Amino acid sequence: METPYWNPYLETLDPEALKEIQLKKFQNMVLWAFERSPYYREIYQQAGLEPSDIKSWDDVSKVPKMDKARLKEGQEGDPFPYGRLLCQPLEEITEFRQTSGTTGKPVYQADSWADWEWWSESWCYILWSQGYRATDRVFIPFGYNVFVAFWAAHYAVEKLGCEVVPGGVLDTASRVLKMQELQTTAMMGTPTYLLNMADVARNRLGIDPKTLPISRITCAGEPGASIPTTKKRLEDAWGAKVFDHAGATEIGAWSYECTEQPGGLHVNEGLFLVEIEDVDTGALITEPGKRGKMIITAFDRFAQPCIRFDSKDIIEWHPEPCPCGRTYRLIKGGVQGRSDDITKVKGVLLSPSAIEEVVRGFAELSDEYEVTVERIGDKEKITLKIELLPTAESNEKEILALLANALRLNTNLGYIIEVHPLGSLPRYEVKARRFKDLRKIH
Amino acid sequence: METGKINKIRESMENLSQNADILASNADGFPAIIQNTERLKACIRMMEMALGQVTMTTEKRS
Repeated sequence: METPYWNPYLETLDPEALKEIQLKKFQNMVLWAFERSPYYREIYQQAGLEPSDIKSWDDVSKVPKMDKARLKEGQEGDPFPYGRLLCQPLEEITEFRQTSGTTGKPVYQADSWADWEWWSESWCYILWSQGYRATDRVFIPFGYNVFVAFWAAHYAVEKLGCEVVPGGVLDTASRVLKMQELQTTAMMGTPTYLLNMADVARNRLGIDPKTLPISRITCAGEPGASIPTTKKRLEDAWGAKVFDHAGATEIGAWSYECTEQPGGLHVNEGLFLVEIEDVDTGALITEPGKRGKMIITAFDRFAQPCIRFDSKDIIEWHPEPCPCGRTYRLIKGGVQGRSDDITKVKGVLLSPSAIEEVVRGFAELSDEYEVTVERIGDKEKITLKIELLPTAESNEKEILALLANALRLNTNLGYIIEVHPLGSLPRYEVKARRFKDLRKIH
Repeated sequence: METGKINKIRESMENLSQNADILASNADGFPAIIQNTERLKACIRMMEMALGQVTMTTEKRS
């Protein structure tokens, strides 16, 4: 019988044995970075840390955390453009990528040939666990460029023995037609883009996406595929199973949803160490039931290591093991937001994901919406812009009342709801920017 | 290049190829090993080509 695990050894390893491997790998990474990166060495020496100080799990938190600002600082100086973060000579670097942040200078990511293999290997865990096999023909509607996004997925698809179709420079309609022409069986994208693609198929090409033989979809880049209402929209639109995963340029592809769809993502604990830290106190959260921010270490990425990186992702441990048999722990509901996105409005903590979950639960609304938060005088105002589907226009009043009520119940806040003509709100090709906090501008 | 050196390279490569086959057959039910061995065998094929050997496809689909 075929195994459901890409790595039947590590993915089912006894947790204590896994922890032993993790500690050794962690010690190894700290030593590697200390010996080879002037920046890491400086940071560790400032903290009075020697690699040999890491003797047990209690010592892990002694290692200073990294964040985006530190990565950027570490990239100042030579060798250009990776600076003092780099642990291998430039001539051993074979891959360049950069973060997709919208503000300021991006972080440049150097990977050696082996690091790049590691990237695709980490994606193999994702794809195998989601049922991708050699018989699949996989369409990747991604503008292959300086952002890492689905590059590693491309090579993982290839490593699994599937057939990969790079849907690079095509426009959305051409991509749908190519998928139809080639009868592709799986694809990948951001939830936003895949909903947009379904809309183009239906309304511009007259093709019901469900008639295409896509049976599985892997999402990334946004939390949508772990938000039940958005996942359902995607599954209904494409007639396919939709799976989530989470990853980042500076980190790697660190988690995945398996075919059991247990309401969370497995942390790939063979390749990564995930710690959860209380946002307010900094205390380590080891038990389920409390959210915190993720501090993550990539164990086997060497040219530009990622050690105790504060990703700002908000996660929490899942209380139950997964029925799939993996011993890798689950994070409940995937990445629930980012610590820098969760904001206080009218004194109440608001997560953009909570609004998405409500809006996408209304079948009478289109896939697009936009939220703005403003301060007028000393009052704060949240405006939700939506589009009603033509079939729902006669029930507008009733739908808006239900929507306002659901939003109040789920977010404890009141909203001004504006109905906009269908198709008038912005459509996004990659990551959407639907939440706009104008208080930070005015 | 010296014939002796070429012969040594060829011998090492043949050993590598045989070991890759043994590895693949021992790794039944371990996709991460089987598929990485398939990639390794694609590299071995490039080395065989480099030495002017006539190659045959031996790729196995999982």
